[in-house]
Amino acid sequence: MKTMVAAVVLKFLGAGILVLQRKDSRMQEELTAYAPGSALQIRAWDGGPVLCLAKSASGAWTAGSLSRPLGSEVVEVVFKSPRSAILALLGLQSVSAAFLENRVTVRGDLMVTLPLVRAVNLAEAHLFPRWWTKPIGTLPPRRLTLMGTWFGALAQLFSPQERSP
Amino acid sequence: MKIPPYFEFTSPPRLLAGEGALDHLPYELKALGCQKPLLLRDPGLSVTTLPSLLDRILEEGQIVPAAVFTDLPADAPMSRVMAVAASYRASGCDGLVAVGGGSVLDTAKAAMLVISSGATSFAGVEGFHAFHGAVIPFVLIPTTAGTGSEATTVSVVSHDEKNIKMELVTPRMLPQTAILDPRCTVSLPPKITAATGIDALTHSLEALTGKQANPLSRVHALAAIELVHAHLETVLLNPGDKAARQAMALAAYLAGVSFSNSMVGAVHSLGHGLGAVCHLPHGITMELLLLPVLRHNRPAIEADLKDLAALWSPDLPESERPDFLDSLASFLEAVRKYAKLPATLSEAGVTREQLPAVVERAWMDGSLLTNPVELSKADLLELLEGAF
Ligand SMILES: [Fe+2]
Repeated sequence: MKTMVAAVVLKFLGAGILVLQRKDSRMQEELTAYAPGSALQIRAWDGGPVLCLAKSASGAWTAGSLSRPLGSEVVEVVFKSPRSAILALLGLQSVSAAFLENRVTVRGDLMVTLPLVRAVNLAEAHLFPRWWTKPIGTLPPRRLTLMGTWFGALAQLFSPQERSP
Repeated sequence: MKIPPYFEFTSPPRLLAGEGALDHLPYELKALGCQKPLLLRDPGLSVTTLPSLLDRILEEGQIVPAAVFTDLPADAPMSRVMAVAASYRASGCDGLVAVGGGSVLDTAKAAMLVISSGATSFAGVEGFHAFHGAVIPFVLIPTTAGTGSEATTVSVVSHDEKNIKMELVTPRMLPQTAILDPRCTVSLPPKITAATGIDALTHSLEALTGKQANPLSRVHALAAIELVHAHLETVLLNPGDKAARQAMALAAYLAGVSFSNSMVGAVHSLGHGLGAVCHLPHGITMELLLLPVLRHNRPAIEADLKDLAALWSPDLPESERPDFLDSLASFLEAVRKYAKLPATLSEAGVTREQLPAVVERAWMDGSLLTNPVELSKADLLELLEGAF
Protein backbone atom coordinates (compact mmCIF):
# COMPACT_ATOMS: atom_id res chain seq x y z
CA MET A 1 0.00 0.00 0.00
CA LYS A 2 2.79 2.41 0.98
CA THR A 3 4.61 1.59 -2.26
CA MET A 4 1.51 2.38 -4.31
CA VAL A 5 0.83 5.65 -2.47
CA ALA A 6 4.46 6.73 -2.84
CA ALA A 7 4.54 5.81 -6.54
CA VAL A 8 1.35 7.77 -7.31
CA VAL A 9 2.43 10.83 -5.31
CA LEU A 10 5.85 10.84 -6.96
CA LYS A 11 4.15 10.77 -10.38
CA PHE A 12 2.00 13.78 -9.45
CA LEU A 13 4.99 15.57 -7.96
CA GLY A 14 6.93 15.08 -11.20
CA ALA A 15 4.00 16.28 -13.28
CA GLY A 16 3.54 19.30 -10.99
CA ILE A 17 7.19 20.24 -11.32
CA LEU A 18 6.98 20.04 -15.12
CA VAL A 19 3.82 22.18 -15.20
CA LEU A 20 5.47 24.83 -13.03
CA GLN A 21 8.66 24.60 -15.06
CA ARG A 22 6.62 25.88 -18.00
CA LYS A 23 4.56 28.47 -16.13
CA ASP A 24 6.50 29.75 -13.10
CA SER A 25 9.77 31.65 -13.47
CA ARG A 26 10.82 30.62 -9.96
CA MET A 27 10.76 26.94 -10.95
CA GLN A 28 12.57 27.76 -14.19
CA GLU A 29 15.25 29.56 -12.20
CA GLU A 30 15.76 26.65 -9.79
CA LEU A 31 16.05 24.15 -12.61
CA THR A 32 18.61 26.22 -14.54
CA ALA A 33 21.09 25.12 -11.84
CA TYR A 34 21.32 21.76 -13.62
CA ALA A 35 23.38 21.10 -16.72
CA PRO A 36 21.88 19.36 -19.78
CA GLY A 37 22.21 15.62 -19.25
CA SER A 38 21.57 15.89 -15.49
CA ALA A 39 19.05 13.72 -13.66
CA LEU A 40 17.42 14.46 -10.30
CA GLN A 41 15.96 11.43 -8.59
CA ILE A 42 13.68 11.31 -5.57
CA ARG A 43 13.42 7.78 -4.23
CA ALA A 44 10.79 7.06 -1.60
CA TRP A 45 13.10 4.68 0.29
CA ASP A 46 15.96 2.32 -0.44
CA GLY A 47 14.60 0.05 -3.19
CA GLY A 48 11.31 1.98 -3.28
CA PRO A 49 9.55 3.85 -6.11
CA VAL A 50 11.43 6.70 -7.74
CA LEU A 51 10.78 9.94 -9.60
CA CYS A 52 13.46 10.70 -12.15
CA LEU A 53 13.52 14.25 -13.52
CA ALA A 54 15.90 14.41 -16.44
CA LYS A 55 17.21 17.33 -18.46
CA SER A 56 17.94 16.44 -22.07
CA ALA A 57 20.83 17.79 -24.13
CA SER A 58 18.44 20.38 -25.56
CA GLY A 59 17.42 21.50 -22.07
CA ALA A 60 13.93 19.93 -22.06
CA TRP A 61 12.77 18.30 -18.82
CA THR A 62 11.01 14.94 -18.58
CA ALA A 63 9.66 13.05 -15.58
CA GLY A 64 9.61 9.28 -15.31
CA SER A 65 9.58 6.38 -12.92
CA LEU A 66 12.68 4.55 -14.11
CA SER A 67 15.89 5.52 -12.36
CA ARG A 68 19.26 6.14 -13.92
CA PRO A 69 22.40 4.53 -12.55
CA LEU A 70 24.25 6.80 -10.13
CA GLY A 71 27.02 8.85 -11.71
CA SER A 72 28.48 12.31 -11.73
CA GLU A 73 25.41 13.85 -13.45
CA VAL A 74 22.86 12.21 -11.15
CA VAL A 75 21.70 13.49 -7.76
CA GLU A 76 19.50 11.06 -5.85
CA VAL A 77 17.56 11.91 -2.70
CA VAL A 78 16.41 8.85 -0.74
CA PHE A 79 14.23 8.93 2.37
CA LYS A 80 15.60 6.85 5.25
CA SER A 81 12.29 5.11 5.96
CA PRO A 82 8.84 4.68 4.37
CA ARG A 83 7.34 6.67 7.27
CA SER A 84 9.59 9.68 6.55
CA ALA A 85 8.87 9.39 2.82
CA ILE A 86 5.10 9.31 3.25
CA LEU A 87 5.17 12.30 5.64
CA ALA A 88 7.08 14.42 3.14
CA LEU A 89 5.46 13.16 -0.06
CA LEU A 90 1.96 13.78 1.28
CA GLY A 91 2.97 17.29 2.30
CA LEU A 92 2.49 16.57 6.02
CA GLN A 93 6.09 17.62 6.45
CA SER A 94 7.90 19.92 4.02
CA VAL A 95 10.85 18.51 2.18
CA SER A 96 12.97 21.26 3.83
CA ALA A 97 11.96 19.93 7.23
CA ALA A 98 12.83 16.40 6.13
CA PHE A 99 16.29 17.66 5.26
CA LEU A 100 16.60 19.55 8.55
CA GLU A 101 15.75 16.39 10.47
CA ASN A 102 18.21 14.24 8.48
CA ARG A 103 15.33 12.06 7.23
CA VAL A 104 16.95 11.82 3.81
CA THR A 105 20.22 10.77 2.28
CA VAL A 106 21.69 12.34 -0.84
CA ARG A 107 23.89 10.49 -3.29
CA GLY A 108 25.81 12.82 -5.57
CA ASP A 109 26.77 16.49 -5.62
CA LEU A 110 25.48 18.20 -2.46
CA MET A 111 26.23 21.62 -3.93
CA VAL A 112 23.25 21.32 -6.28
CA THR A 113 20.78 19.90 -3.78
CA LEU A 114 19.29 23.16 -2.53
CA PRO A 115 17.61 24.13 -5.85
CA LEU A 116 15.95 20.68 -5.87
CA VAL A 117 14.67 21.22 -2.31
CA ARG A 118 13.26 24.62 -3.29
CA ALA A 119 11.73 23.17 -6.47
CA VAL A 120 9.93 20.42 -4.53
CA ASN A 121 8.77 22.95 -1.91
CA LEU A 122 7.37 25.12 -4.69
CA ALA A 123 5.61 22.15 -6.30
CA GLU A 124 4.14 21.02 -2.98
CA ALA A 125 2.92 24.56 -2.28
CA HIS A 126 0.92 24.29 -5.51
CA LEU A 127 -0.25 20.67 -5.20
CA PHE A 128 -1.55 20.65 -1.62
CA PRO A 129 -4.15 22.89 0.03
CA ARG A 130 -2.67 25.41 2.48
CA TRP A 131 -4.54 23.96 5.47
CA TRP A 132 -3.01 20.55 4.77
CA THR A 133 0.70 21.33 4.53
CA LYS A 134 2.98 21.95 7.50
CA PRO A 135 5.79 24.10 6.15
CA ILE A 136 9.00 24.76 8.07
CA GLY A 137 8.95 28.42 7.07
CA THR A 138 6.56 30.37 4.93
CA LEU A 139 5.19 28.61 1.87
CA PRO A 140 6.11 30.25 -1.42
CA PRO A 141 3.13 32.20 -2.80
CA ARG A 142 1.19 30.40 -5.54
CA ARG A 143 1.26 31.75 -9.07
CA LEU A 144 -1.05 28.98 -10.30
CA THR A 145 -4.19 27.99 -8.42
CA LEU A 146 -4.49 24.59 -6.74
CA MET A 147 -7.03 23.53 -9.37
CA GLY A 148 -4.95 24.94 -12.21
CA THR A 149 -1.89 23.00 -11.06
CA TRP A 150 -3.90 19.79 -10.68
CA PHE A 151 -5.47 20.08 -14.13
CA GLY A 152 -2.05 20.85 -15.58
CA ALA A 153 -0.50 17.89 -13.77
CA LEU A 154 -3.26 15.52 -14.94
CA ALA A 155 -2.86 16.75 -18.51
CA GLN A 156 0.88 16.28 -18.16
CA LEU A 157 0.45 12.71 -16.89
CA PHE A 158 -1.76 11.72 -19.82
CA SER A 159 0.22 13.58 -22.47
CA PRO A 160 2.34 11.57 -24.90
CA GLN A 161 5.45 13.48 -23.73
CA GLU A 162 5.26 11.92 -20.26
CA ARG A 163 7.74 9.14 -20.56
CA SER A 164 10.62 7.60 -18.76
CA PRO A 165 13.95 9.15 -19.57
CA MET B 1 14.50 24.73 25.98
CA LYS B 2 12.76 23.76 22.74
CA ILE B 3 13.04 20.07 21.87
CA PRO B 4 12.51 19.37 18.16
CA PRO B 5 9.90 16.68 17.37
CA TYR B 6 12.68 14.61 15.82
CA PHE B 7 16.43 15.13 15.75
CA GLU B 8 19.63 13.17 15.33
CA PHE B 9 22.85 13.66 17.24
CA THR B 10 26.17 12.05 16.45
CA SER B 11 28.39 11.81 19.52
CA PRO B 12 31.85 13.33 19.20
CA PRO B 13 34.91 11.09 18.93
CA ARG B 14 37.08 9.97 21.81
CA LEU B 15 39.19 12.95 22.82
CA LEU B 16 42.67 13.18 24.30
CA ALA B 17 43.14 16.77 25.48
CA GLY B 18 46.01 18.53 27.22
CA GLU B 19 49.76 19.02 27.02
CA GLY B 20 51.29 15.61 26.40
CA ALA B 21 48.17 14.19 24.72
CA LEU B 22 50.20 13.69 21.56
CA ASP B 23 52.47 11.25 23.41
CA HIS B 24 49.56 8.83 23.64
CA LEU B 25 49.21 8.56 19.86
CA PRO B 26 51.10 5.22 19.65
CA TYR B 27 48.93 3.74 22.41
CA GLU B 28 45.76 4.89 20.61
CA LEU B 29 46.92 3.47 17.28
CA LYS B 30 47.74 0.09 18.81
CA ALA B 31 44.38 0.06 20.59
CA LEU B 32 42.75 0.55 17.20
CA GLY B 33 44.78 -2.31 15.72
CA CYS B 34 47.02 -0.02 13.67
CA GLN B 35 50.78 -0.64 13.40
CA LYS B 36 51.60 0.81 9.96
CA PRO B 37 49.71 4.09 9.57
CA LEU B 38 49.83 6.50 6.69
CA LEU B 39 50.86 9.82 8.24
CA LEU B 40 49.26 12.76 6.42
CA ARG B 41 51.10 15.90 7.47
CA ASP B 42 50.33 19.54 6.70
CA PRO B 43 53.24 20.85 4.56
CA GLY B 44 53.02 24.13 6.50
CA LEU B 45 54.29 22.32 9.60
CA SER B 46 57.75 21.81 8.07
CA VAL B 47 58.84 25.17 9.54
CA THR B 48 57.81 24.08 13.04
CA THR B 49 59.23 21.52 15.47
CA LEU B 50 56.02 19.47 15.36
CA PRO B 51 57.18 16.94 12.71
CA SER B 52 60.29 16.02 14.72
CA LEU B 53 58.23 15.81 17.94
CA LEU B 54 55.79 13.49 16.19
CA ASP B 55 58.60 11.34 14.76
CA ARG B 56 60.13 10.96 18.23
CA ILE B 57 56.78 10.01 19.79
CA LEU B 58 56.05 7.40 17.11
CA GLU B 59 59.56 5.97 17.38
CA GLU B 60 59.31 5.69 21.16
CA GLY B 61 55.97 3.95 20.72
CA GLN B 62 57.43 1.57 18.14
CA ILE B 63 55.08 2.70 15.42
CA VAL B 64 56.68 3.09 12.00
CA PRO B 65 54.50 4.89 9.45
CA ALA B 66 54.33 2.85 6.25
CA ALA B 67 53.96 6.12 4.31
CA VAL B 68 54.25 9.84 5.00
CA PHE B 69 52.24 12.12 2.71
CA THR B 70 52.89 15.88 2.74
CA ASP B 71 52.24 16.87 -0.86
CA LEU B 72 49.07 18.85 -0.21
CA PRO B 73 48.27 22.34 -1.50
CA ALA B 74 45.94 24.59 0.50
CA ASP B 75 42.33 23.50 -0.19
CA ALA B 76 43.48 20.22 -1.74
CA PRO B 77 41.45 19.02 -4.73
CA MET B 78 39.79 15.61 -5.25
CA SER B 79 42.81 14.30 -7.16
CA ARG B 80 44.95 14.74 -4.01
CA VAL B 81 42.36 12.77 -2.02
CA MET B 82 42.67 9.95 -4.53
CA ALA B 83 46.48 10.23 -4.40
CA VAL B 84 46.43 9.81 -0.60
CA ALA B 85 44.22 6.73 -1.00
CA ALA B 86 46.55 5.31 -3.68
CA SER B 87 49.59 5.84 -1.44
CA TYR B 88 47.78 4.12 1.45
CA ARG B 89 46.94 1.09 -0.67
CA ALA B 90 50.38 0.89 -2.31
CA SER B 91 52.17 1.03 1.06
CA GLY B 92 49.99 -1.57 2.75
CA CYS B 93 48.93 0.82 5.54
CA ASP B 94 46.49 -0.24 8.20
CA GLY B 95 45.30 3.13 9.50
CA LEU B 96 45.35 6.87 8.79
CA VAL B 97 46.68 9.68 11.00
CA ALA B 98 46.37 13.29 9.87
CA VAL B 99 48.06 16.30 11.46
CA GLY B 100 47.27 19.77 10.20
CA GLY B 101 44.84 22.59 9.63
CA GLY B 102 41.19 22.21 8.67
CA SER B 103 41.83 21.65 4.97
CA VAL B 104 44.34 18.84 5.63
CA LEU B 105 41.95 17.14 8.05
CA ASP B 106 39.12 17.45 5.51
CA THR B 107 41.33 15.84 2.86
CA ALA B 108 42.13 13.03 5.31
CA LYS B 109 38.43 12.46 6.05
CA ALA B 110 37.57 12.19 2.36
CA ALA B 111 40.55 9.88 1.76
CA MET B 112 39.49 7.74 4.72
CA LEU B 113 36.06 7.25 3.11
CA VAL B 114 37.60 6.40 -0.27
CA ILE B 115 39.96 3.88 1.36
CA SER B 116 37.30 2.34 3.62
CA SER B 117 34.74 1.98 0.83
CA GLY B 118 37.22 0.74 -1.77
CA ALA B 119 35.89 3.46 -4.09
CA THR B 120 37.84 4.02 -7.27
CA SER B 121 36.50 7.52 -7.88
CA PHE B 122 35.59 10.47 -5.71
CA ALA B 123 31.99 10.30 -6.97
CA GLY B 124 31.68 6.96 -5.18
CA VAL B 125 31.73 8.65 -1.75
CA GLU B 126 29.99 11.95 -2.50
CA GLY B 127 26.76 12.74 -0.72
CA PHE B 128 24.90 13.21 2.53
CA HIS B 129 24.57 10.25 4.91
CA ALA B 130 25.17 8.00 1.90
CA PHE B 131 28.14 5.99 3.17
CA HIS B 132 27.62 2.47 4.54
CA GLY B 133 30.12 0.06 6.00
CA ALA B 134 33.13 -0.27 8.26
CA VAL B 135 35.97 2.26 8.38
CA ILE B 136 39.73 2.02 8.91
CA PRO B 137 41.55 3.13 12.11
CA PHE B 138 41.57 6.93 11.91
CA VAL B 139 43.08 9.60 14.18
CA LEU B 140 42.95 13.39 13.66
CA ILE B 141 45.26 15.97 15.24
CA PRO B 142 44.33 19.62 14.48
CA THR B 143 47.02 22.30 14.41
CA THR B 144 44.61 25.25 14.21
CA ALA B 145 41.78 26.10 16.58
CA GLY B 146 38.91 26.91 14.25
CA THR B 147 37.27 24.47 11.86
CA GLY B 148 36.80 21.75 14.48
CA SER B 149 37.12 19.33 11.56
CA GLU B 150 38.32 16.63 13.97
CA ALA B 151 34.83 16.63 15.49
CA THR B 152 32.60 17.09 12.44
CA THR B 153 30.83 14.78 10.04
CA VAL B 154 31.64 17.13 7.16
CA SER B 155 34.50 17.31 4.66
CA VAL B 156 34.92 19.94 1.96
CA VAL B 157 37.28 19.29 -0.94
CA SER B 158 37.98 21.41 -4.03
CA HIS B 159 37.14 20.38 -7.59
CA ASP B 160 40.23 19.97 -9.75
CA GLU B 161 39.06 22.03 -12.73
CA LYS B 162 36.02 24.03 -11.66
CA ASN B 163 36.08 26.75 -9.00
CA ILE B 164 33.71 24.78 -6.78
CA LYS B 165 33.80 22.77 -3.57
CA MET B 166 32.61 19.21 -3.15
CA GLU B 167 30.98 18.38 0.17
CA LEU B 168 30.72 15.02 1.91
CA VAL B 169 28.60 14.55 5.01
CA THR B 170 28.37 11.30 6.94
CA PRO B 171 28.58 10.36 10.61
CA ARG B 172 30.95 7.55 9.55
CA MET B 173 33.63 10.15 8.76
CA LEU B 174 34.45 11.01 12.37
CA PRO B 175 37.81 9.75 13.59
CA GLN B 176 37.88 7.17 16.38
CA THR B 177 40.21 9.52 18.30
CA ALA B 178 40.97 13.23 18.18
CA ILE B 179 44.02 14.70 19.92
CA LEU B 180 44.21 18.30 21.15
CA ASP B 181 47.67 19.18 22.42
CA PRO B 182 48.58 22.87 22.94
CA ARG B 183 52.01 22.15 21.45
CA CYS B 184 50.19 21.83 18.11
CA THR B 185 48.69 25.33 18.12
CA VAL B 186 51.11 27.41 20.19
CA SER B 187 53.04 28.73 17.20
CA LEU B 188 50.01 29.87 15.17
CA PRO B 189 50.44 33.47 13.93
CA PRO B 190 47.99 36.10 15.28
CA LYS B 191 46.01 36.56 12.04
CA ILE B 192 45.29 32.84 11.72
CA THR B 193 44.63 32.53 15.46
CA ALA B 194 42.06 35.33 15.27
CA ALA B 195 40.41 34.26 12.03
CA THR B 196 40.10 30.60 13.02
CA GLY B 197 38.90 31.57 16.51
CA ILE B 198 36.13 33.70 14.99
CA ASP B 199 35.27 30.77 12.70
CA ALA B 200 34.75 28.58 15.79
CA LEU B 201 32.63 31.32 17.40
CA THR B 202 30.54 31.55 14.22
CA HIS B 203 30.05 27.76 14.09
CA SER B 204 28.69 27.74 17.62
CA LEU B 205 26.52 30.88 17.24
CA GLU B 206 24.98 29.63 13.98
CA ALA B 207 24.43 26.14 15.41
CA LEU B 208 22.81 27.60 18.53
CA THR B 209 20.45 29.96 16.72
CA GLY B 210 19.71 27.89 13.60
CA LYS B 211 16.60 25.94 12.68
CA GLN B 212 18.31 22.61 13.30
CA ALA B 213 19.38 23.37 16.91
CA ASN B 214 18.68 20.62 19.42
CA PRO B 215 19.32 20.34 23.17
CA LEU B 216 22.60 18.44 22.73
CA SER B 217 24.11 20.66 20.04
CA ARG B 218 23.05 23.64 22.15
CA VAL B 219 25.06 22.49 25.19
CA HIS B 220 28.19 22.14 23.04
CA ALA B 221 27.61 25.50 21.32
CA LEU B 222 27.19 27.40 24.60
CA ALA B 223 30.37 25.85 26.03
CA ALA B 224 32.30 26.85 22.90
CA ILE B 225 30.97 30.43 22.96
CA GLU B 226 31.97 30.81 26.62
CA LEU B 227 35.50 29.51 25.93
CA VAL B 228 36.08 31.78 22.92
CA HIS B 229 34.90 34.79 24.92
CA ALA B 230 37.22 33.93 27.80
CA HIS B 231 40.35 32.99 25.83
CA LEU B 232 40.60 34.40 22.31
CA GLU B 233 41.83 37.83 23.39
CA THR B 234 44.29 36.14 25.79
CA VAL B 235 45.95 34.07 23.05
CA LEU B 236 46.21 37.14 20.84
CA LEU B 237 47.88 39.17 23.60
CA ASN B 238 49.99 36.29 24.86
CA PRO B 239 50.46 33.71 22.06
CA GLY B 240 52.62 31.43 24.25
CA ASP B 241 49.87 30.92 26.87
CA LYS B 242 49.39 27.16 26.50
CA ALA B 243 46.35 26.99 28.79
CA ALA B 244 44.54 29.60 26.68
CA ARG B 245 45.67 27.87 23.47
CA GLN B 246 44.23 24.61 24.75
CA ALA B 247 40.98 26.31 25.73
CA MET B 248 40.67 27.65 22.16
CA ALA B 249 41.38 24.19 20.70
CA LEU B 250 38.65 22.81 22.92
CA ALA B 251 36.30 25.62 21.86
CA ALA B 252 36.87 24.72 18.20
CA TYR B 253 36.20 21.04 18.97
CA LEU B 254 32.98 21.83 20.88
CA ALA B 255 31.85 24.22 18.14
CA GLY B 256 32.57 21.45 15.62
CA VAL B 257 30.34 19.05 17.55
CA SER B 258 27.55 21.63 17.65
CA PHE B 259 27.54 22.63 13.99
CA SER B 260 28.16 19.10 12.79
CA ASN B 261 24.81 18.25 14.37
CA SER B 262 22.92 21.48 13.73
CA MET B 263 24.53 22.95 10.63
CA VAL B 264 25.52 26.57 10.16
CA GLY B 265 23.55 29.43 8.58
CA ALA B 266 23.72 32.45 6.30
CA VAL B 267 27.08 33.68 7.63
CA HIS B 268 28.53 30.54 6.10
CA SER B 269 26.41 30.71 2.92
CA LEU B 270 27.75 34.19 2.22
CA GLY B 271 31.21 33.29 3.50
CA HIS B 272 31.44 30.36 1.10
CA GLY B 273 30.35 32.69 -1.73
CA LEU B 274 32.98 35.28 -0.80
CA GLY B 275 35.60 32.54 -0.60
CA ALA B 276 34.75 31.27 -4.08
CA VAL B 277 34.37 34.63 -5.83
CA CYS B 278 36.84 36.86 -3.96
CA HIS B 279 39.24 34.20 -2.60
CA LEU B 280 39.09 35.58 0.94
CA PRO B 281 40.21 33.28 3.79
CA HIS B 282 37.22 31.59 5.39
CA GLY B 283 37.82 33.01 8.89
CA ILE B 284 38.01 36.57 7.56
CA THR B 285 34.65 36.18 5.81
CA MET B 286 33.14 34.98 9.11
CA GLU B 287 34.58 37.96 10.98
CA LEU B 288 33.10 40.37 8.43
CA LEU B 289 29.63 38.84 8.19
CA LEU B 290 28.84 37.44 11.64
CA LEU B 291 27.42 40.61 13.14
CA PRO B 292 25.36 41.81 10.12
CA VAL B 293 23.73 38.38 9.72
CA LEU B 294 22.94 38.00 13.44
CA ARG B 295 21.43 41.50 13.43
CA HIS B 296 19.27 40.54 10.46
CA ASN B 297 18.24 37.28 12.21
CA ARG B 298 17.46 39.11 15.45
CA PRO B 299 13.62 38.86 15.38
CA ALA B 300 13.88 35.06 15.32
CA ILE B 301 16.64 34.66 17.91
CA GLU B 302 15.73 37.01 20.79
CA ALA B 303 15.53 34.19 23.36
CA ASP B 304 18.98 32.91 22.39
CA LEU B 305 20.41 36.42 22.58
CA LYS B 306 19.13 36.73 26.17
CA ASP B 307 20.86 33.45 27.10
CA LEU B 308 24.03 34.62 25.40
CA ALA B 309 23.97 37.95 27.25
CA ALA B 310 23.83 36.00 30.52
CA LEU B 311 26.68 33.74 29.36
CA TRP B 312 28.98 36.65 28.54
CA SER B 313 28.00 38.85 31.53
CA PRO B 314 27.26 36.30 34.27
CA ASP B 315 27.95 38.67 37.17
CA LEU B 316 25.49 41.37 36.14
CA PRO B 317 21.79 41.33 37.00
CA GLU B 318 19.55 40.81 33.96
CA SER B 319 18.47 44.45 33.80
CA GLU B 320 22.09 45.64 33.59
CA ARG B 321 23.41 43.11 31.08
CA PRO B 322 24.51 44.67 27.81
CA ASP B 323 22.76 43.44 24.70
CA PHE B 324 24.65 40.41 23.38
CA LEU B 325 25.07 41.83 19.88
CA ASP B 326 26.62 45.02 21.34
CA SER B 327 29.02 42.87 23.40
CA LEU B 328 29.83 40.84 20.29
CA ALA B 329 30.53 44.04 18.31
CA SER B 330 33.01 45.21 20.98
CA PHE B 331 34.60 41.75 21.14
CA LEU B 332 35.08 41.60 17.36
CA GLU B 333 36.46 45.13 17.37
CA ALA B 334 39.11 44.15 19.95
CA VAL B 335 40.05 40.99 18.02
CA ARG B 336 40.39 43.02 14.81
CA LYS B 337 42.64 45.51 16.56
CA TYR B 338 44.98 42.86 18.02
CA ALA B 339 45.24 40.82 14.82
CA LYS B 340 44.94 43.70 12.32
CA LEU B 341 41.96 42.18 10.51
CA PRO B 342 39.82 44.14 8.03
CA ALA B 343 36.58 45.63 9.36
CA THR B 344 34.68 45.84 6.07
CA LEU B 345 34.44 43.91 2.81
CA SER B 346 36.00 46.83 0.93
CA GLU B 347 38.94 46.89 3.36
CA ALA B 348 39.35 43.18 2.61
CA GLY B 349 39.69 43.99 -1.10
CA VAL B 350 36.21 43.02 -2.27
CA THR B 351 34.75 45.19 -5.03
CA ARG B 352 31.07 46.15 -5.30
CA GLU B 353 30.93 44.54 -8.76
CA GLN B 354 31.71 41.15 -7.19
CA LEU B 355 28.71 41.20 -4.84
CA PRO B 356 26.03 39.86 -7.25
CA ALA B 357 28.25 36.85 -8.07
CA VAL B 358 28.69 36.23 -4.32
CA VAL B 359 24.89 36.28 -3.92
CA GLU B 360 24.49 33.69 -6.71
CA ARG B 361 26.97 31.37 -4.97
CA ALA B 362 25.34 31.87 -1.57
CA TRP B 363 21.91 31.13 -3.06
CA MET B 364 23.09 27.59 -3.88
CA ASP B 365 24.54 26.96 -0.42
CA GLY B 366 22.73 24.43 1.75
CA SER B 367 23.40 26.45 4.94
CA LEU B 368 20.63 28.85 3.84
CA LEU B 369 18.14 26.15 4.76
CA THR B 370 19.09 26.22 8.45
CA ASN B 371 19.35 29.99 8.88
CA PRO B 372 16.74 31.06 11.47
CA VAL B 373 15.04 33.42 9.02
CA GLU B 374 14.44 32.81 5.33
CA LEU B 375 16.50 35.01 3.07
CA SER B 376 15.83 36.11 -0.49
CA LYS B 377 18.52 37.05 -2.98
CA ALA B 378 17.70 40.70 -2.25
CA ASP B 379 18.27 40.09 1.48
CA LEU B 380 21.64 38.47 0.76
CA LEU B 381 22.71 41.43 -1.36
CA GLU B 382 21.56 43.86 1.33
CA LEU B 383 23.64 41.99 3.94
CA LEU B 384 26.73 42.21 1.75
CA GLU B 385 26.10 45.90 1.05
CA GLY B 386 25.81 46.45 4.79
CA ALA B 387 29.19 44.82 5.38
CA PHE B 388 30.86 46.58 2.45
FE1 LIG C 1 33.36 27.90 9.24
